[in-house]
Amino acid sequence: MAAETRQILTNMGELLKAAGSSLANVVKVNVLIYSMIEYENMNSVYREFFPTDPPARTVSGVKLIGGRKVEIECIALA
Amino acid sequence: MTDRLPRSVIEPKNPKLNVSRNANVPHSPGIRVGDYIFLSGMGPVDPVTGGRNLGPIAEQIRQTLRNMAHMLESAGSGLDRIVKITVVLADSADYDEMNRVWREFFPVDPAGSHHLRLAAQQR
Repeated sequence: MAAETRQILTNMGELLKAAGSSLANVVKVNVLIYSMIEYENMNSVYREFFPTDPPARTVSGVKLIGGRKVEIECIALA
Repeated sequence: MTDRLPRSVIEPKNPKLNVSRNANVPHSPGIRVGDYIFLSGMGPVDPVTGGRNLGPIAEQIRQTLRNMAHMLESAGSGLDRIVKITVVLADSADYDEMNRVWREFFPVDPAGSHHLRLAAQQR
């Protein structure tokens, strides 16, 4: 969970940067995790990427496809 | 690139409803950008105790929407200005009851919404 969260947020930061934005300009995040048991494991990594004024966020426990443990989407300012 | 809209954190006037601060979780209650407000996922938190107000689904939905109204009003907005909501129910059997309560809060021109059934939601 920690590794997947780190990879996704790293990729998200790269994508935003490629578009001239950054994680600091994210306003809303949806986090889908396979089990809410992993909530704190996800949070501990997530926290590193959004150290101040973090985005609004919703976290839900769901069944994910492809064996992944976590999926994250966001809305950001350009 | 054009000038970026200012991005600011919004918080409920009632500190008991500031779940993200009280539970020290890494999200803000809401973010404002320009004329738009984005709220974090909200639940039936008791505005007096700050604890979870668990009970019948109708009451949980009423409490959640009252809290949402408080959040929006704290930022100078309101339920009548919502454009999109996502509802997450632990049990889809509660769908009709949710809709019944929904109409109490959104009598005219309700927001766009969609509903997810998430059986694994319980923590």
